[in-house]
Amino acid sequence: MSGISDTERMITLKTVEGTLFDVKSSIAKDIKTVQAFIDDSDDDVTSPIPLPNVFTRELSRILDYLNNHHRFRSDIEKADEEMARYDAEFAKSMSHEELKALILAANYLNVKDLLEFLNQTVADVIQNKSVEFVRNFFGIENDYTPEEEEKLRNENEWAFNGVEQD
Amino acid sequence: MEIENKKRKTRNHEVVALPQELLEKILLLLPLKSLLRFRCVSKQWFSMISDSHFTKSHFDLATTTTNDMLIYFSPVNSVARCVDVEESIHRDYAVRIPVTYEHYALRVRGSCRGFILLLNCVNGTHFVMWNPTTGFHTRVSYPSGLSYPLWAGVGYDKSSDDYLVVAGWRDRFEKTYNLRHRWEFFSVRNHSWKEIETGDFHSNHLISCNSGVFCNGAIHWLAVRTVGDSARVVVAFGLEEKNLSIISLPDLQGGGTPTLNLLGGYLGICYTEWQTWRNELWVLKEYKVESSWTKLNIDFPDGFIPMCLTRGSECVGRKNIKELMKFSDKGMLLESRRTSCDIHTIMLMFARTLLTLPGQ
Repeated sequence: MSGISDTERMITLKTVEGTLFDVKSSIAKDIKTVQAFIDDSDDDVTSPIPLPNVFTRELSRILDYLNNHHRFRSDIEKADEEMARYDAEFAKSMSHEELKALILAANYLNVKDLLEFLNQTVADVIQNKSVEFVRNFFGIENDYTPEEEEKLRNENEWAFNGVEQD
Repeated sequence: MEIENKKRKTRNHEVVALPQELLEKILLLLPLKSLLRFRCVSKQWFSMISDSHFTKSHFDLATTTTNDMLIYFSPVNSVARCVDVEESIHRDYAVRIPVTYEHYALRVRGSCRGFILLLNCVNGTHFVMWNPTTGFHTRVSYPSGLSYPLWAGVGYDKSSDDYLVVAGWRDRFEKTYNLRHRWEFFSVRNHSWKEIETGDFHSNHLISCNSGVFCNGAIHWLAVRTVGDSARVVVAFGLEEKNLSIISLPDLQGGGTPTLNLLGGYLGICYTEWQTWRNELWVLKEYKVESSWTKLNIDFPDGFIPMCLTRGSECVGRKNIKELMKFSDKGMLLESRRTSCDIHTIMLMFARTLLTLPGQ
């Protein structure tokens, strides 16, 4: 750690459960919702910033992601390779429910890069999957009658070719 | 603490639901094939995936959209078959044609950005714009007082985000036997026909094919110059400028009958010698630069009619009416199959898109 980061201002975030996280202001910059809160405050923010929609599990993951990405970016040479390896592990470490919960949190906190990465992760998961898999994945109820669904499937025979096993 | 634990617990058992705005962002990242399949997820997903803003964003995000679907249908059967030329040509898919028509009354006049321009010669004669991928279709009636058009084509004008149907008729006011023709274009967005100013073009050129090829923002037809050298040329209608221009054809050693085609994204010409059925393929590498006509050195068997080039430069086409074949860029036969085609079978290439039409 360089001398600058030792003296860097810290910001405290508070999750739904009441857990407090101390975050460096350079990291907070990437969390646009938090940065907007800071920018809107007239005085220096000293008390914890409440995040009424964000749970401890998600915030801890997001901070982990941002801290690691900041660290990778400081070492230009290895950045891309290490970041790709880290991202792949990061995506794999979550269940589908955890992945979606993290998308909601990243969206609320407006962490653009992470949200894009998570959206792409979900797209990669469902791309070659069946309709039933997607319904389960997103918790969607099928409101077609069996006849309607059968008709629609027949109209798009080509699209049902090469679907992976769930 | 008690409350927090409870909250945590219920949360773990519920399925996390994403709002539509986030779902759309994820769906935009999917290939067209997945989206078509996922229209079956629920009615809400169907309308989300069919929404015109969504389909346009999805189309714009895709890096390339090529005419990779070969469709063929007999004018006596309401089911068409599609072959994805990028996949094995042995696999084909049924597609329902959206118009009812009598025997041999259906024609095609071109394709553009996922839409096929059909011409129905019964029921008051009209065009149909049809997207075989989504099943979406709409009717385009002729301008009042005009009947069966001599030639037609369809294209997309980026500048006005509009599809144009362009057609030519024998002028209804002209009773003499000279070459006066009337050109009109239909704006799908404005839902109206407008006459095209052709200057003295009509007296100098005669369109010699009935179906247009769309590329580089223009629709193209083959024509014969009726003055001077009687040379064969390509006539281009620029959709943004709304005017006609001429592109010369490459010099051909043996002579032959040209057909116009879209080959690997370029305007292409296939010369067929009638005596020997030998083929020569040419592409216009740089649009409207006539010196850039390039001959493709592929040796096809006699009688093979090329339809398209795939992304891997393979060539798919038909031979002896019934046979569908795929050749490598070195002219090696890769695949071949028999189809139900006969001499009346209509065959053309189109691109798969989820697009709807402006103003629909």
